[in-house]
Amino acid sequence: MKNLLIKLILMTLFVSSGINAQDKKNVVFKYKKHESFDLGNLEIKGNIIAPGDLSVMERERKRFNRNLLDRDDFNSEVKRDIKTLR
Amino acid sequence: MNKLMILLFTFLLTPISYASLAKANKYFKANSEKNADKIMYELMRSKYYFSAAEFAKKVIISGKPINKNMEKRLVTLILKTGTLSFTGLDENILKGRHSKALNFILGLKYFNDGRYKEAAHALRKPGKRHRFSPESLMILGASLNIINKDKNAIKAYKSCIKSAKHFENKANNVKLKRYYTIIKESCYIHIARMYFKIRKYKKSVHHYEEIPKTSYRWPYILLEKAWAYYYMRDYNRALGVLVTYKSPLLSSYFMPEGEVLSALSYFKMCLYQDTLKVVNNYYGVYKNRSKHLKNILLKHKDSHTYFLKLMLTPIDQNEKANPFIRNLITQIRKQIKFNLDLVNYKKLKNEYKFLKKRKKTPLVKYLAASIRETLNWRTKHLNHYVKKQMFSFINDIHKNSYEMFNIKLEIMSNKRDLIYRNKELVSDRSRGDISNVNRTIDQHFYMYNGEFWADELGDFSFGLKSNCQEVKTDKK
Amino acid sequence: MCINVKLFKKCFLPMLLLAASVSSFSSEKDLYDFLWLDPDKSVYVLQNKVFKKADSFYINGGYLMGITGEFQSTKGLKGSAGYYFNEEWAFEVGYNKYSTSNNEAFQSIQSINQSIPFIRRMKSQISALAIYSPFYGKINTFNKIIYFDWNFGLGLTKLATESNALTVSNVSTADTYNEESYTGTILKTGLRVHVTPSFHLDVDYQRAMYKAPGPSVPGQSAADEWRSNSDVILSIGMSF
Repeated sequence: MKNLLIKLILMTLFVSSGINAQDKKNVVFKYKKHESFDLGNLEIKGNIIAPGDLSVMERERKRFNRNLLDRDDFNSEVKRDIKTLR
Repeated sequence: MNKLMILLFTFLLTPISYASLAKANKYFKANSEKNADKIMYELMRSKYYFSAAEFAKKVIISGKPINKNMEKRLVTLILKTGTLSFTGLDENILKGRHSKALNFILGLKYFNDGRYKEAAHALRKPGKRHRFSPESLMILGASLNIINKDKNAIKAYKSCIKSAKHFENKANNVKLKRYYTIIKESCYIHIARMYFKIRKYKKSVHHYEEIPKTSYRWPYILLEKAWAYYYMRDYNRALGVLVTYKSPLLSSYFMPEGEVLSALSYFKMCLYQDTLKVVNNYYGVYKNRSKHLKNILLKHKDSHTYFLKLMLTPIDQNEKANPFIRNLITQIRKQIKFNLDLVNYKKLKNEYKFLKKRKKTPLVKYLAASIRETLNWRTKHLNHYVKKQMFSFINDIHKNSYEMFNIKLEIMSNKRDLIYRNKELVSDRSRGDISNVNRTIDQHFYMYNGEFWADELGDFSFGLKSNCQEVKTDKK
Repeated sequence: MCINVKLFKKCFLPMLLLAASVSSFSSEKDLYDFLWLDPDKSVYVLQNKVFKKADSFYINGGYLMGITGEFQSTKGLKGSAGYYFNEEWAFEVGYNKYSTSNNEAFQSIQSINQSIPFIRRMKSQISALAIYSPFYGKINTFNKIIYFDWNFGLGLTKLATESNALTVSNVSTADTYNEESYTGTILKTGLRVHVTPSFHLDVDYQRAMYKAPGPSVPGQSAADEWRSNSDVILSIGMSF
């Protein structure tokens, strides 16, 4: 069991040193300089879930209602009447 | 003039007053606390009412039960010296006394402190024929009104009207009659306000109409009536009522809120140009005027006498400084409290002068000192009373200019909204037409032909058509 | 519908001065400058009626003068009572009691021509009318504002009369008056001047129309013809 464990550690060390050696090489990726798609020939599979043409949804403008002066009661006037009575 | 009055006062009262004052001196020397009621009585006989009130307070503080005679004397002292003589007493001393006069003082004290529930409790048994019944019932109604006990409030106000009518008929001089008339009318107005609060605007207007046009209260209720019409969506009538303030007869009654309500009424009819005219006029005329007034008054804000002196000098001398001064002085001069306090203040001054001329006995020395203190306090109190009202007027103008600003913003928002929707309002401004005037069968109607009768003041209506219908811009 | 009789521009000055108790300011010149009221908007006056009629009863009592009979002097008393269902419509019942006497024309014809004319005297009249009161107005005069209503009435009436129709054509018989009774229609128009909310003064004109025969000639029967009786009534009344 002990021997198996030692072998495994040694193998791991060996493999990892191999990978490090590969990293040091210069890798150059090359892409095609020109590529064209034939859109007419493309076939897309799926269900249409939106209207076909481009459209802008007209949305109700948000209106901010200001609190204009309201009179719920004349309590302040009632108080003033008493305070100016006697 | 004052000297003449003092001389006359001295001449008329000398024979009794010497005897009574001598007795009062004797009682004072013996035991001023124990004999307080006797001293009070003798001072009253000598017509030293403010001095007597000092001893009446001692009797009340002593906790002695208030008997019938004492109750009568208390009523006389309150009438002769004003409620201010007693409202300074501690509430614990006034509470639970079997005296309608003291209950009235306690109720008033609570009300002025904003303790409406306690005021209503103190005044729950105002009596029907007591001298202070009308006032007590009015304060009771107001307290119940504010704490939303509407049914009981209306009941109290109705009793107030009955009681005030009784004393109005009984009054043997014009001023007293007018005083009770004002209380009676105030109770009608308070009922109208209660109906307004519960949104029964028609009933509210009906009660406002109980007030004759010759009443002191009438100029103030125009604004409230206009609000009632505004909520009934009768904007033409609201505008017609408010235009009354422009009458030369009512030039002393400028109501900043009335301007806002005019602007709102135009706004509700989508007459934006007219609304903006009112708004701009407010900013251009009234706000500047109030700024100017503020600058004048601020210089004297710490004075204890400036505002009182302002009230006592003829209006013509002060109104040149600022036109609003006429407004304020006229309105304050017509308040009952100011008049009563001012009369009492003058009487107090005379009593003090008279006391100073008397032989310096321990009682006279004691009274002179305490009356001087009262005089100083009342000077400050009256000055403060006037100052508070003047500054609250200025504050009102500023508060309402904020409301005007809101209306202006709302118009801009509405106009922008119309442009976005490619619409505009149907018509332009017009002078109005008879077909837009709302009329009921119990109203009669006249065209205005360049003049009106005095009985028509305040009964105006505009005939403007609502401009709120929208049309497509290109269709117009 | 309203009538506003604006008599003189200056006649309302005292009222204005009364209202001026609210302000000691403003000169007389300012009072007549109404530009403040009418800068760029039409203004209308819309007043609550001071004297409302809806749902109220009224009773009247007054003096009447007959203006129809050529040879009779007719006067009498009138009592009426009514009820206003609303501001414009009311129902009224009335009773007229007449007192008649031969007038100067009768005496002249009797003494000059030695003849007696045909006479039909009114004795009493009961009527029931529908009243329509579309006009309410005010007059400003003697420095006082007087409010009034102008009304119209239409209804039925029963008249008690007496006439010499049977004897007037026969010179051999003494002139006698026989009692008659007719039913007809009645029209009226009246002006009610309000003194206080409870008291009013009325001036009415009423005309009763009925079919009755004329004098009967011996051997011929008299045919019924439309006849009328008009009265002017001054009365005082109460509303409650």
